Amino acid sequence: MSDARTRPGRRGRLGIELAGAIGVAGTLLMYLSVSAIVPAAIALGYGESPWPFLGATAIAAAVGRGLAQIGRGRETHVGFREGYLVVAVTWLLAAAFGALPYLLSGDAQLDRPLDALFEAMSGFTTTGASILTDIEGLDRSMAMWRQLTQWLGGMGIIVLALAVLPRLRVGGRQLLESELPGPEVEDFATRIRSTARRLWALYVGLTAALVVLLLAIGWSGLDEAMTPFHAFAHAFSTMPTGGFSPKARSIEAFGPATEWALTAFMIIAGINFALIWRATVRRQPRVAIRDEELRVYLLAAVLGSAILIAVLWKEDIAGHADAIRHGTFQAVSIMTTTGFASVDFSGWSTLPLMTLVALMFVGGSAISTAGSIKVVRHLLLARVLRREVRRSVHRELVEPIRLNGRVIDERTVRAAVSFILLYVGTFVIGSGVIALDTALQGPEMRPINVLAVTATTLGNVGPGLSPAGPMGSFESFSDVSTATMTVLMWLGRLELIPVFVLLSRRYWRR
Amino acid sequence: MTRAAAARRLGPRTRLAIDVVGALGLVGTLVRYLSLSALAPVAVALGYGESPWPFLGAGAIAGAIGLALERIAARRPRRVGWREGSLVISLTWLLAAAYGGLPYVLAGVPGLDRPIDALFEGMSGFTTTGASLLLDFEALNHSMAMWRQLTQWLGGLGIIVLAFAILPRLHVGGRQLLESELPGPEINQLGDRVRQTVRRFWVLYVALTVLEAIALAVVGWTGLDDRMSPFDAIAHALTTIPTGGFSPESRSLEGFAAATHWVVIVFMFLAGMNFALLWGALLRGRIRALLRDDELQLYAVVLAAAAGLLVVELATEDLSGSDNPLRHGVFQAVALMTGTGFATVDFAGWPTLALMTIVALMFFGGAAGSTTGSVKLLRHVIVARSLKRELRLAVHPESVRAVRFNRSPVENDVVRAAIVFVLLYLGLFVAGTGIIALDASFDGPTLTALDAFSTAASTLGNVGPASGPAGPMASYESFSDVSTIVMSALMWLGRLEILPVLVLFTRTYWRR
Repeated sequence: MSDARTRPGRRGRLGIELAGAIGVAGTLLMYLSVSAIVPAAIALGYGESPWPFLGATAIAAAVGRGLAQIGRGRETHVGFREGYLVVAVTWLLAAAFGALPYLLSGDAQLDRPLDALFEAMSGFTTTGASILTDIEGLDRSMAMWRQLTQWLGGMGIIVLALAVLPRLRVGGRQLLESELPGPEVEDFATRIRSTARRLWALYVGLTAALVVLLLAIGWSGLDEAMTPFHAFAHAFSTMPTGGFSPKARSIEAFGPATEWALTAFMIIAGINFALIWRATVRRQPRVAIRDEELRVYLLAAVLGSAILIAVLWKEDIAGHADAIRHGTFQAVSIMTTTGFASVDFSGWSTLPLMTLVALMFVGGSAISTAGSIKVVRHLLLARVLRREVRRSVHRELVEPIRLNGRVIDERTVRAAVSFILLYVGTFVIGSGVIALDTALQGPEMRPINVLAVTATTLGNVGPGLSPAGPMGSFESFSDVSTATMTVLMWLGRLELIPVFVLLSRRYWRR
Repeated sequence: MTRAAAARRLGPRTRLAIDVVGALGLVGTLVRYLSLSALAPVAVALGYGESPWPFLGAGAIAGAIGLALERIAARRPRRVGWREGSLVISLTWLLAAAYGGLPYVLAGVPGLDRPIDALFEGMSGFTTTGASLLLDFEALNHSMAMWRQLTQWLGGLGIIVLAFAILPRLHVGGRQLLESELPGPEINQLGDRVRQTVRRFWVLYVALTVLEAIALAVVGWTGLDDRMSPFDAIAHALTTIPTGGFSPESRSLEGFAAATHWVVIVFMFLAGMNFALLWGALLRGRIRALLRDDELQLYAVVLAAAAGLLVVELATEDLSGSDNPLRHGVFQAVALMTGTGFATVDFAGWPTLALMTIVALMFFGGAAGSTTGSVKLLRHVIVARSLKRELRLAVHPESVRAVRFNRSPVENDVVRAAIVFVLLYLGLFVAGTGIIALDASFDGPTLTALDAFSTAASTLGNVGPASGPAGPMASYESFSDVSTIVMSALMWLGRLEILPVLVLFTRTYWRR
């Protein structure tokens, strides 16, 4: 392109408020930087070095402030179109911030920037995939920081689900409005803000409840391994359906009581938070019971558990008594995209492995911290297909798609269908890249392992299969694969569209 | 009086919205015509001094059933319209498969003498899939081997009618797209125009078959390939053009020479092209229309990428087929993408990347308006462009732009149909894989996950061979009856482009 064409009014041709968007992201980073004070305090408590965290805070605050300066005075111009850029950049900055303590501590496992970014992206997207090979070799403060990145990511997801995604019709604003009827005088932004505050309270409350429950299990002697440290650590990664654990072998180290407690809270974490709010705080449990998404969600969990239990029982992999516990735990953990493991499932036979990979595509409910496709979209898709089959008989048939008795508008339906196709497409391309790269640079992988690794990162689940199984690590992958998976986690968490949109030229013009 | 009230008064039978008897009558007529095809293997049998009775028996039974069905319907006025079309084609393919399986049962061919197995083989023939339950190819005599090949060739004839005359009317596939390429006004009924179109593409189909048979026979006569007898030349031509993939040889095309392989590659590629465009280019000199076709361009790109990947993989590693990476890589890519399913090497033992490439190819298929199965390139193009449009809508919610194909806008109904098809296809693939994996884990061969994926993809996409126990040099016989039935159903669904079969299982289709 010639100079003459680009020079006059180059900035004016940009269709979006770039500076303002960067400013907003910078402000968010500045707030986020404060969070590293928590692990610094823990470090001091355990007599470890707080400097990696303080350093991270300082750097992030400085960068955040610098970015905020760029956009000063222009934030008011930031509209919904800039929203895509803001969320995409914010998550990227958050991951970079999360990686700083790993890099600054100089721990040999994460001293390369790409690896640290992977681990932090896995944290802030609440995925739970880890590149660490010796998790228990980490400082306690560093281990807690890992857990904390997931918990913070979960808070971000709630805002994402409430404020940003409904605009893309991916979550469905109708859903939100039906779940959280507020006073009519509030405008949308105020309502979002008050709703977000309520759901944050719920999120914090549930985390506290799980901490108390796990502490009780530890104190009562039901599970000797459950120390207060672990109670906090696991609560921090259960509620955001994250799946990090400071234990090398995940939940295997703990007893049945802990596993059942986590199973219960993983299920809760995958339920629509707005629905939980209505059922508990507003005392309208009937609404929850009648919710179609919740029913399908529970049905899928039961079905997945049943298959796993049947196979574990038949093949006597884990002992009959444990088949029910491990089957249920694993199905729930993978389906809700948490990714804890009570047993190393990467050695299981074909059918249970395929079941687990299939569950990676289910996900939890809308407005939960779960990733992947999510149950409501599956539900909408099934209804669309049923209608279209019927429509092929009666061409003139006009039949709205309903959810919980309410008519869902066609744009929302279309967005759900497009999302699923984009998701499948991204999955196929991601698998292709990883298969190609592993064929060239190792490690050696079977096809199902390639598919599992892609599905687990795109769906923000966490563990894949060998060599990236629940007790394994993602460290054997080459840099190309590591970068690809980092991108997949980012894409999956932002529900694809905000990032894909940035790739089109039209987004930036006019 | 409302129609519903009238219907109630007339009793339950008339509440059916479908003229089942009339549809059966039409199916009967088709089956009666089809039964004549058994005369061809009879002639072969007499020529080789083999028993013609299995074919005469099958022809007689099919003829009798066809006549009987016609008789039932003859007494009542027929009201067979387009709505009955789904029932007619679904039943016709099912009966054709049963008819195709009859000679195997009557002759007691080892491995195919059980009705379920014979039905599978017959379905694999008439849907031009190429999946086989046979283990012992020596047990087939000449006439029986030729019958297997012939079922695929006849299936191909049927597919041309489906693609150009019937499916567009049932709103399956890209109706408008096909019509825009046909000369003359819009198709309003299966009238002279359509009959003429079908006849024209049948001529092209027959001509391509003859051409390939001659080319292969020449390869044999000139000594380029000593093994290519006239029998083999005809047999393989009969299964290349319908992108079928049956071979009278137990190890497919492995035993043949390079010249044969290249000839088959060319004809497989031709068979995967849109017949309407091919006709235009060959007979009307419309070569530019062919070259500028979006579908053909995607066809070339996908093939080149996949073949390139396989060739490199074969060249750098020591695998079966590494003796000539270019030939085997290109052959396998073309054979699997077009859903033909011939094999020059046993690819079942290839490493991860190559196997994943092969399974991915099974989801493409050739152009719409060809005899290939699977999703077909047209739908890939439309779905990809509609997703691009959706992304644009996320930025400019008010933007209204049509999806385009070959530079002209595509109607929204067509876009919608393509998306629905792809999703139904994926759904069936997942369900089929699930059932096969579930069944195999209880009662069947040990499958890896990829084996389960590839068998489902291969049967649903009408490809033929898969990996593992169903590899190109192996057989589907190790699967249990449940899996065999599921795979027969997948072949049937895939060939009829899903919807015509699926609607039969909805109440809406039969009522109102």
